[in-house]
Amino acid sequence: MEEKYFLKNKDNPESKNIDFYVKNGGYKAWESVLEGKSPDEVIGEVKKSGLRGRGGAGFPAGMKWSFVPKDSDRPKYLICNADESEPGTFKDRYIIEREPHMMLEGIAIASFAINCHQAYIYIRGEFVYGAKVLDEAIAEAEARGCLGKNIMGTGYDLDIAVHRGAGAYICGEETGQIESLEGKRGWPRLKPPFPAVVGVFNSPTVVNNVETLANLPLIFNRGADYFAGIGPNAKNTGPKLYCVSGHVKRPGLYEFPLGKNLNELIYEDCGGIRDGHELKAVIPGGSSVPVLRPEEIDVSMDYDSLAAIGSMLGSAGAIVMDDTTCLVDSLLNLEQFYAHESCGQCTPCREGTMWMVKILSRIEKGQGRMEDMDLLDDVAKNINFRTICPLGDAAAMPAMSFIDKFRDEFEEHIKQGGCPIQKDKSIKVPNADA
Amino acid sequence: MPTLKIDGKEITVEKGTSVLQAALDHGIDIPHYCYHPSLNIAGSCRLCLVEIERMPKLVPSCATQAADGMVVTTNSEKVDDARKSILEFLLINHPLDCPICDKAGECKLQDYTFQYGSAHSRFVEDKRRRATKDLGGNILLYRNRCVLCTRCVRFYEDVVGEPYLTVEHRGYHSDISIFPGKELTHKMTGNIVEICPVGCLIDKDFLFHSRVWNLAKTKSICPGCSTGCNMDIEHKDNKIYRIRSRENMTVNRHWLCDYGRYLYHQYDEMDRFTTPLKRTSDKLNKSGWDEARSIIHDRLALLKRSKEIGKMAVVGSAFASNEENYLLYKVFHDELGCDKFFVHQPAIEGEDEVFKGGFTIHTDKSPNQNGANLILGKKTDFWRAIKKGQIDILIFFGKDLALTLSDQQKELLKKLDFIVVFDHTLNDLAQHANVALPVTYFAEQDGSYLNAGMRLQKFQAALTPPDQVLPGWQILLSIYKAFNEDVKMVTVSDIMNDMSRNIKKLNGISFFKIGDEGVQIK
Repeated sequence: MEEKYFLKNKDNPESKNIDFYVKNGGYKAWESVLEGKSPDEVIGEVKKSGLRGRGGAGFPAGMKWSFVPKDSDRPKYLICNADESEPGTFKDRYIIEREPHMMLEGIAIASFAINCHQAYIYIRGEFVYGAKVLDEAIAEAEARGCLGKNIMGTGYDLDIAVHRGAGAYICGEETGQIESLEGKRGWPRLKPPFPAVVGVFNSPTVVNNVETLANLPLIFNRGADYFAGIGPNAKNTGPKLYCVSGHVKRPGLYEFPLGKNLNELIYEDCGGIRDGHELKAVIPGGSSVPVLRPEEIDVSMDYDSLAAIGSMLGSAGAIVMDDTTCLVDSLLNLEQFYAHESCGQCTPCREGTMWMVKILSRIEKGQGRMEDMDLLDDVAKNINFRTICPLGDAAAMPAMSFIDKFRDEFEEHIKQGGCPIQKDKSIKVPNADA
Repeated sequence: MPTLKIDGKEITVEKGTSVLQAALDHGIDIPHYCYHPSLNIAGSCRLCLVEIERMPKLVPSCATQAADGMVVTTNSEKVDDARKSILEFLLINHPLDCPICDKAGECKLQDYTFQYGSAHSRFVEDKRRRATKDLGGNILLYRNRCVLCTRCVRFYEDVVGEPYLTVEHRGYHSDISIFPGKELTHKMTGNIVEICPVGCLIDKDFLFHSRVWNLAKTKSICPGCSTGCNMDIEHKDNKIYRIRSRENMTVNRHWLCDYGRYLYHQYDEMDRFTTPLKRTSDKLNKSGWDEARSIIHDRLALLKRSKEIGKMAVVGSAFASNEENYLLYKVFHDELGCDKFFVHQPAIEGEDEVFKGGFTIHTDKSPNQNGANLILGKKTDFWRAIKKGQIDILIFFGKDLALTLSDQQKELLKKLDFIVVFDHTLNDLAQHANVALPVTYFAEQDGSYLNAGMRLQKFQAALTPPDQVLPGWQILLSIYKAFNEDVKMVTVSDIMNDMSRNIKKLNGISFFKIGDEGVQIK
C-alpha cells in the first residue's frame, strides 16, 4: 500500500483544522453511519474489517463492542485511551496533535455503535499541547454540528470531554484508567466484570486506543472489505503506525500496512544501524514485550507473527539497540520504570519489580553472583500472570527474555565484576516528527 | 445453588459464594490476607490463587464466584509454587522481629510461611525500612511489617463508613497512612488490630503485656450495651489481658466497639467491696456470709406471706443475668409472695448508632433489658412507689457501674425500713443498704443475656472472684433453698433449664443448647 492514511498530511500544518479535514472528505463516514446504519450494522462492519485494538493487546474491536449489554438501562460510555505512555511509543501523539478530527470521527462512530452519548478522551497529562488541540477540535466540530446535540439533524447527541491524566503509566491500563476517570487513584480493577459490563460510573464502558478509533473513518469511507484487504492476512488488517527509536539512522514514525517486515523497516526505511555499529537487540512492540535478537528480526510486524516467535506486536514501538548498548543496563532501566510505575496494589508486582531492580543494579555495578541470573528469571516468572493487571507481565516479560537471549552478557558482567561495555553517551535524540 | 468440586470434594453452596469461602466453609484451607468475609473484595494479596479447569491463568479464589460444574484445585504444584512465591515476596521486606512482635503466635505470615513457605531467604538486598508511627488513640503502625492487604483501609470504608486510612505513595513505596488531621480515636478502631493479619497495627493497650499463646480464652458476651457482641476474654493468672471479638454473623459479625473492648478496665479498676457488709447505726461494717444471710433470712421469714409483704419492692436489673433475675422472682414471688417487681435500667438517651456495615452500638448501655423485662415485667419506676410511701423494704440488684442518685432519691431511701443491695461498689444506693452483698461481674460468672434483637446468648466465667465475692445467682439460690428444701438446682445450667420450663417464650431451651452463637427467641 503506497497510499498513506494517517500520515498523508504529515507535511501540512493545516491538517488539524476542521476546514481542511472536511474539505478532504472528513466526517463523511460519520454522516453515512448516522444516516444509514444501525449500531448492529456498524459493529458488524467493524468485525468484518478485522480491526484489532492498537493499544497493545490486539483484541478485535468489533467483538469488544458487542460485549456491551444492550438491555442494560444504564448509560454507556466510550473512553478513548490517549494515555500513550509505553516507552518507545509515539504514534497516538501524532494523531492527537495532527489528525484530531480523524480521532473524533472515530470516537463518534464507536459511540454510535454502543449507543453512547458521553465519550471521554483520557489523555496523558504530559500531552498539554495535545489536550489543547483536542479541546479546539471538539469546539470546531460542535460548531459545525458534527458533535454535540442533535448531530446533523438526526437527533443523536454526543458529548466528548477531554480528561487529562496526572502522569501515571498505570492509568493507561483500561481499568486503572476507569478508576482514574472516576477521580480515584489508578488502581486496576479485578476482572471479571469486564468494563464492557461494569466500567466507568458502574456502567457499560468501552475503552479503545486512539489509533484503533482513528481507523474507523477509513473503514466507513472505503468499506470493510477495502480495510480487510490491507495487511498480510484476514486476522491482521489495516494500516499501522510504527514507531522506531534507538540506534537507527532515521528514527521516527512510519506508516505501513500491518505486517511490515521488521528487518526491512530497520534497514531500508530507517536507513539501518548507525555507521560503524552492529545491531544487538530489538524490542519490537514497546518496552513491555520480549526482546528479539538480530537473527530473529526477519519477521512480519503483525499480531500473530510476532506472537509466533514469542514476542508481541504491542504498540508497535520498536526500540533498536546497537552494540554500544549494555543490555543489563537497559533491562535495569526498564525495570526501574516498571518498579516506579507499579501501582503497588498487588503483591507480586509491588515487591517483585523492585527486587529485580535491586538484583540488576548489583549485576551492573559488578556485585552480581552467578545464581542471580536464575534468581532474576525466577522472580520474573513469579510475577508473570499472577497480578491483577498486565503491568506485572509487562515487567516480567522483558526480564525473562533478556536473560534467556543475552545470558552471556549477564555472565560477563558477573565474571568481570562490572560492565564490559563502552557506553556511548553522545547520542542525541532527534525530533521524532521530522 | 451451584455445585462445584474443590480438590475432588463435591460442594454445594449458596449462589454468590466465592470459591475461597466455599473452600473455607468445607474445611479446605486456602491461605489469604486481603480477603475478609465482612469486607469488600480487594483481590490484591494474590495468596489465594487457585487453579480452575478451563481457565488459562491461576485465579484469585476470593474474587471468583463458585459456579456449577467448576473444578477447582487448591493443592497442585502450580498453586503451591504461586503461594510460595507470594509468601516470598511478602517476606523479603518483612523484618524477622517475631521475638518482639505482639502478633507472634497469631500471625498469618508466620502461620502461612510455616505451612506453605520456604525456610530460606533468597533476598540479599537491603530491606525497606520505615519508622513506626503513632496513629493516635490506641494504635501504633509498625510500617515495616505491613503486607498492604488494605483490610484496615477497607474496614473504615466498608464497615464504619468514614475513611480514616488510605494507601499513600505508589508501588514499592506504598504505605498505609492516616488522612491529615485525623487520629484513630474512632470508637470502632480496635477492630483493625484484630483484622490486621500481621503485626503492623498494634494496640498500645496490649503492647508487650503478654505473649498471646500464654493467654487462655473464655467465651463471653459484651455487657457494654444491648447489642450483645460475642467476644473472647483472654486472660492469664486471673487477670484479663485483652478482649477480642468472636465471630457471630447474626449479631456482631467480626466486630466489637472500643467501649466494649476496653470495658474490662472499668471492672478491673472499680472500688469494689469484697465482703458482705451490714449496717450498725450509721455505718456499713464488714460482715461474713453466715451473718449476712441470717440477717436477711430472719427479716424475710417474718414477712413471708404476711400483709407486710405488700410493702416490699424487688428491683431486678438490666445488668444482671437472666438466671439472677429469674431467681429473684422465684425467691420473692414464689416463696415470699411479693408482687412488686421492677427493673433497674440505665438512662437511655439519644439514638442508636448504626454504621455502614450494619454494626450497631445501642444507647441502652445494659446488656439484658429484654431478659429482665421478660422475667420481671416492664415496670421501671420504683422511685414513684417509694415516694408514695408504698414501699418499706427494698431488695435491689444493681451491677450498674454508672449508677448515681439525686439528692431527692437519697432522701427517699432514708425513709425505708430495710434495704438489701447486691452490687460491686458502694455506690449512692448501696451506701443506704442495711445489708450489702458483693457479687461477681460478667467475667467472673456464668449466665445468659437476651440482647436487643431477642437473641439469647450465654457467657462463661473467665476469672475466679475474690474469696468473699459470690455470683448473684449463688447467693439467691442459697436464700431460695433456705425457704424451700425441695429446690434441687445447683448450677446456672439448672436455673436456665428451670426458667425455660416456666417461661413460655424460652420454649424449653437448655443452657447447653444455647451454643456459642446463641438462640433466637420469638
